[in-house]
Amino acid sequence: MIRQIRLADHGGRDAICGLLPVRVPDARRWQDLAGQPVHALRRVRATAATHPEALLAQYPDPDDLAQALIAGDPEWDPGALGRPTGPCTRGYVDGDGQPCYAPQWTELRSDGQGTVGACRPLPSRPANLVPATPPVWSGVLLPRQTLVRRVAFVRAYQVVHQDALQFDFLYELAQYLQQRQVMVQIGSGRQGRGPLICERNGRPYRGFLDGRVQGEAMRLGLYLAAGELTIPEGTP
Amino acid sequence: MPILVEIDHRNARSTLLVTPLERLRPCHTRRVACDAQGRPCRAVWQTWDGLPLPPGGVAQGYEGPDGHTVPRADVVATDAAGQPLRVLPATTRRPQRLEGPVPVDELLAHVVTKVYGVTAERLDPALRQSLQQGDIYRVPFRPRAATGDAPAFLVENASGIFLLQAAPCRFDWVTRAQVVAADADEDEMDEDVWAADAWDLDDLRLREEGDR
Repeated sequence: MIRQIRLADHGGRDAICGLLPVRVPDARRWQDLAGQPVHALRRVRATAATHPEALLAQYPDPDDLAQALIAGDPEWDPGALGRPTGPCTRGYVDGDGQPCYAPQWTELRSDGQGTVGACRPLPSRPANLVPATPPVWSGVLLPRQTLVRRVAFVRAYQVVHQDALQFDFLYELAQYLQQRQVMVQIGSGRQGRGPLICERNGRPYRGFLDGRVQGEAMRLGLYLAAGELTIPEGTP
Repeated sequence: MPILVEIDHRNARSTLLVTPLERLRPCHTRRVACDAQGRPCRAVWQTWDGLPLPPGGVAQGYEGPDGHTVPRADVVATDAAGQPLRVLPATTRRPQRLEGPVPVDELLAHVVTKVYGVTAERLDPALRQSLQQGDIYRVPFRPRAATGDAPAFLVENASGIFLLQAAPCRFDWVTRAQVVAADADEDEMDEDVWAADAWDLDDLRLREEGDR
């Protein structure tokens, strides 16, 4: 399933289009010294119950831990140890070592030495690429040469159509941007300049569209910027 | 620890000290997952059947076609045709040739994977002037030896000079007939390429007014 985004154009129209990742995949292969193909594999070494930290929590006294290791092999889970992990997802375990399916997010702010100064709870942020209400054309047009020196584009997608009407919509949008040699900012909110969040509780980005047309073909890229290129004040 | 980068451009050598931008920031923010009691959670990997694997609970290795383990030292990177790839040395401590100015499209054909702030120990005045005019330069940048080429782009704005480590992208021309089905491809997940959340939008202020 590809991502989708709801885009507005300069004419007040909007459409839900597809997003294709554009990162060039790593084409390298691996082989051993004999020329045989080799593949990377992850295997289970310890589970949450057999991990050294869990054992230390269970047996705070080193002598008790040593005795338990000799007597019962608590570090050994024959059903899990050594098995391939397969594809994994990210999860969380709470302070008791139990799965936490709905963690609450807190932001910690620390100084340069790592001392935590303040923390604040973060509200849950849903993804907003396909809002329920039509997005707004921001009208913020920025020259490419200026923009690439101001922000760092850390993610990019190709905006693609899923039917012919969408193609006409995207083609006109790309043509509009190419004629002006600019990129347009897209985003959430009433002014269309708010952050774009691709995944629930994901990192907010500023989005920019770059469009090109060549005859009957078009190319519309969505660039996501994570930050502005600024050197902090006081840096030598 | 800044990385020393020497670059040659039009028979003039410049010496730059580059530091990851997040290390230059006076304060950092990071997001922590907490449980219902406010205690910090630990991030784990979950297998397809729900087995939680804490950090350090996974061993990664290489295996041959018959399942035998291959030592890391015996693993060789090859191209798609099976030809061993040459290990390119690190670019530090060796002068690198600057390419450019390159068109902006070349930078737009990449995504930035890391941003370095640049302190110019010695900068060729002609290069400085070119950067100030908005030119973009490309330079090989590998802090460590690697089998793949890692381009980086040198840019300057009102705040300073930056080295942008980048990874290539590929945009294709599409025509009306090239319809992409909604279930065509799997998507990449959000990669945690930014070490600090100091890049949060709270800290961002694009100065759009002057460019509108």
